[in-house]
Amino acid sequence: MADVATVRLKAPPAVTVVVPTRNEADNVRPLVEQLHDALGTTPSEIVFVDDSDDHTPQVIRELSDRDPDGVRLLHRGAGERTGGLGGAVAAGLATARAPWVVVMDGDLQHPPATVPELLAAGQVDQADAVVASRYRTRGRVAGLGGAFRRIVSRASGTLARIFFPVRLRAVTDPMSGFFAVRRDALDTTALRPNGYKILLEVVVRGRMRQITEVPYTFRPRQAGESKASFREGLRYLRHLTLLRLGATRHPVSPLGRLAGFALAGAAGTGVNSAALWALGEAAGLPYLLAAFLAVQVAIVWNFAVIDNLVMPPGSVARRRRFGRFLLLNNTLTPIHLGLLYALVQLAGLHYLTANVLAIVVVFVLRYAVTSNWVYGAPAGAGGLVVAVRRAVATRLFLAVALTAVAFPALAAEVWDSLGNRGPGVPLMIPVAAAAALAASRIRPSGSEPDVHDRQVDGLLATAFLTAGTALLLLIPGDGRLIPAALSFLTGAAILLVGTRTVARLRWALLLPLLAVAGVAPAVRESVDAGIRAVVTLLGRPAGPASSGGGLVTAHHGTELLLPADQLPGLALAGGVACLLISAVVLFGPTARALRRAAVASLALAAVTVGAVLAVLLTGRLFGPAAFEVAGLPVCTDTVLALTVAVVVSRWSPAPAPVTAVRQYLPRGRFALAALVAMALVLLGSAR
Amino acid sequence: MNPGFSAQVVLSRMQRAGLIVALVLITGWAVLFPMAVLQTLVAIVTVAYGAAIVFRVVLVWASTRGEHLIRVSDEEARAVADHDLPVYTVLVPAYREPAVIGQLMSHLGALEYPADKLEIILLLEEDDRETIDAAAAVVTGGHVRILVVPESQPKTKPKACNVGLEQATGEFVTIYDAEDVPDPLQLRRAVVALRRLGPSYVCLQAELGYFNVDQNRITKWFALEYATWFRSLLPGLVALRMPIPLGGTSNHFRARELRELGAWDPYNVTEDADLGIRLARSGYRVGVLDSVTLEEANSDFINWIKQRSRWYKGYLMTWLVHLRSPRATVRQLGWRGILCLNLFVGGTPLAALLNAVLWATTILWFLDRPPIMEEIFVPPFYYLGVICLVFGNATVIYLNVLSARTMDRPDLLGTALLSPGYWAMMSLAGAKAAWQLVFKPSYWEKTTHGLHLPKEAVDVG
Repeated sequence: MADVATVRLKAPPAVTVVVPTRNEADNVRPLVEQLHDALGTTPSEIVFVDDSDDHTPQVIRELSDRDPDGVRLLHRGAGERTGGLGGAVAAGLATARAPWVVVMDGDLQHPPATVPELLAAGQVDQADAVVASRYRTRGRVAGLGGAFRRIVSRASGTLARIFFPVRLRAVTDPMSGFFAVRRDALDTTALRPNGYKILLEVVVRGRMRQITEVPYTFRPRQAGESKASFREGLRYLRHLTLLRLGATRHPVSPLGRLAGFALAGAAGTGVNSAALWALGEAAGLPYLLAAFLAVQVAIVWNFAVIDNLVMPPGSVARRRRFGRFLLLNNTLTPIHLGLLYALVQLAGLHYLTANVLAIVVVFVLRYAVTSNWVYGAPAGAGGLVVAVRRAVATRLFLAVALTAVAFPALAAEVWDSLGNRGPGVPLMIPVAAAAALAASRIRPSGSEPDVHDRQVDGLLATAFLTAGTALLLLIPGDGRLIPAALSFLTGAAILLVGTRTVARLRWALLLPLLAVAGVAPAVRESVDAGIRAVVTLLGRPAGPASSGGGLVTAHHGTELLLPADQLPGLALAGGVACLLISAVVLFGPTARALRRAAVASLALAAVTVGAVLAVLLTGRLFGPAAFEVAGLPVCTDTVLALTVAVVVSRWSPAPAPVTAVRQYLPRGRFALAALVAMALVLLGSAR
Repeated sequence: MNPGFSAQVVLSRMQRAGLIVALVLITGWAVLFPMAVLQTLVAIVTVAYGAAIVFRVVLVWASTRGEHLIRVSDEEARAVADHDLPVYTVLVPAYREPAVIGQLMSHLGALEYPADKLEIILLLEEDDRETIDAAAAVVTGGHVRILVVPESQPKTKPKACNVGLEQATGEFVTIYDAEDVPDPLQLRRAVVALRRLGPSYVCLQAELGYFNVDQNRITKWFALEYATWFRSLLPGLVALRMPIPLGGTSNHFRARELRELGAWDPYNVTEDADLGIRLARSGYRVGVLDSVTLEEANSDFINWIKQRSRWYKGYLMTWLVHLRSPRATVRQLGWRGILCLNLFVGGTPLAALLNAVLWATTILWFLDRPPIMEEIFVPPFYYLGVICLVFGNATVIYLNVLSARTMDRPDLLGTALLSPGYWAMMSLAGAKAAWQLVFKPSYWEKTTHGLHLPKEAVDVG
């Protein structure tokens, strides 16, 4: 027996179990025994972080004397108990020595037999963290006393998932106090525990990507008293808000940073205008001077926002960062104007369109130079531009942008449909569903063969591009614009990201076809009638009667009419079709898929009715001008598109983990040059 | 071997000159009378296309009249006493396939042939350390040998086989790929069959099938195609006494005659098909043996295109090589052989390529009805084209349905009816083959094996 023990001591622990305890003297011994039974021969250490005032530390010390490497005690006296339960766990995590750390309560409500399952799941899924969930199918909440406590627990979990929809996507029980984390993925210095749930802290501050779950059954309490209280709940809410704000600052993902950069820029435009007004109107300076000074004010503002909230502090000193930022932004204005001039004079674009293009180009330039030169950290920011350039998403975006350039008629049609309902499903909705569907499939799954062939890419792309061009130029017709554009898009995408990736995204690419073919006009009539019936049934703010199929409301006696042809029936029908197709793509042709699609369709219908009611209500409350704006199809369609996208992305599985092997991406320079030339030729021939 | 038969140079000097002259003449003519050239082109294509379809139907019809597979029953195969059996050499060329070596050993170990009469030579490439190490770990000596082929160009399977043949001591020689699962009695059957058939038969081709038919749609199509190939088309060629393009593995040779013939052309990427034609030109006959070797059907689209494009490129090469001295070819092969060479060896890839053009034309016609097409298709050939479109396609689909019957797999009926999807893949492979024939003729498009295995075991080779 003694020999076995020494052998075990020599092996470094494979798992550290951190157990925060407070007045649990009766539970400690059975817990250690059960853990040893569950772990078997796996070398382990158990760290008790004890905040007790009773004789619990003595019990632990006895155990620790018998097995000094297997059981350790970290006692926190009355004055040292920072951060409560969470603080205790954080202290335990900081002393853990094994590559995997399991955190569990000391009250035996977390069955030790689940610990090996957590570790196995972590190995198999290559996760950063594994959560033991009470709400996965097999897990049961047997131990939480009373329906009220159960509801509180579930609701606080749901609240956390609302705050962190992406990070907690795979987690059904974010309130779990029972989980395993990989020691490498853990940054113990970043933890600021406050309240009773440390898992959120670990996942959010640690910026963990890959989280899986294992079901377990919450057991009845063995002894001692429960600690969850209403005050803890309030602290939790505050903590959640702080975490959310903290996690939003200095985003890690390139996309998040780009979005932050764009938001800061948008806010800067407002500051610029305000400063111009103040300097020009209020202070009475000549307008050119005022404009120049306003630009400087906006640059200072932008720098303050970007430096504090968006970009991570790089290796360059703040003073120099500011100098570079100022210089860069003052250089970009002439470049912007020059580009505008070239686009208007040489490419013959309208100056408003040209300005939008110029803004996009200058924005990209500004972002690239800012992250490289101003925040020129050797690894972080420089790699960021490369990451963006090498991202499949960037290439796909380029393919879509080139298609928009090559098919100006389609772009114009989409533009028109924002202000007036056309004959088809608004393209926005299938495109939103397609984007949501594509997002989860952008990286290959593990089972996909890594076999690629540039000649196949070239041949397929040629076929698709030729078909698209032929459809557009040789056989013009209303219904053929979208198939032609999709054919072009497919060809461009194959050239830019390769056949295999496009094949993986095929359903996303096919969804926009719905806009032309999927939904028959007969459907429109009936769906419109349905919406009308429901809206009038609900009564106010809709008028009691509808005339000529439209919906009527009144504002101070003036009648406001939402005409029949402006009802979003076709948009709803298209959205439902998108949901159905996405469900079948994601879950296979099963009853489950149909059920989910049906539920989501009902929700979408409710959203549509709500949107129509909101339009009518706006008219009733704010008058005809507001009614005009709210009645524009773009408002309703955006809401529907967002709903569809959110539903589809909730359905989608978490994207495959980023592996060490870099995803295949073909060389795209010549392909891109050829595609740009082709798009410009098509643009030219359209004029 | 005779360098005149090698695909080291795709076009001989005469062929190149002829091609240039023809192109110049056609271009000149096309500038003067564009419509006439187009009409002639369409006429030629339509007639050739129709002929290829008729040829296929004739082959299938011929294969059903009488028995053309060589059958050796289990009892007959086992009846030969061990001391009466000749020494048999099995060549197994492998490149970058360390994961399948273990399986290969168990499959070869299952062969019912006395170990002292069996010589297995693993042909590995010098730069492929992984496979050499994997093989060294499992090869325990005895009748299995590892032969490391010295590094030299061209580094192809036929080159490795030639090196192996030089070292082979067997009276008979066969080739298996590393992932093959041969019928355990195949060697004995081949011995009995070759002895029974006499010296005019130098080679037997065993039937190839797939062990992963149900993996996905592509493997199902592939299995149907192989069933058509080995149970209808090859027996049809045998029945009509035409040359047989051999398949890549499980061909059993008499070693002496094979050496005399110069063995495989290391520059041809379908050395086996070329060897089949060369056997026929030397007056030897090839039989199809009723004994199945199971292979891995290519289950991945891109991988399939790569493999198929290599086959098509090889067929085109073979076709061009044997058209170098047309008079000699006609004399040696006779009209039947010429028909087979043009309609079967050259016709298969060309039909795949033309298919895409013709389908595109058809679709264009239905979408837009451009008036120029009415001029290009002059009446008799127009009607022939329509017959090809309607009856030709129906026939080819029908042949696939028939194969589902002969495989006794009625569940493949849907797959058979969906064949046009497979044709599109063939067209793509045909285009790739044509491209490579011009720009990279000797490039060996390596197929990745092991895609039927779970992900951990996959090797890329």
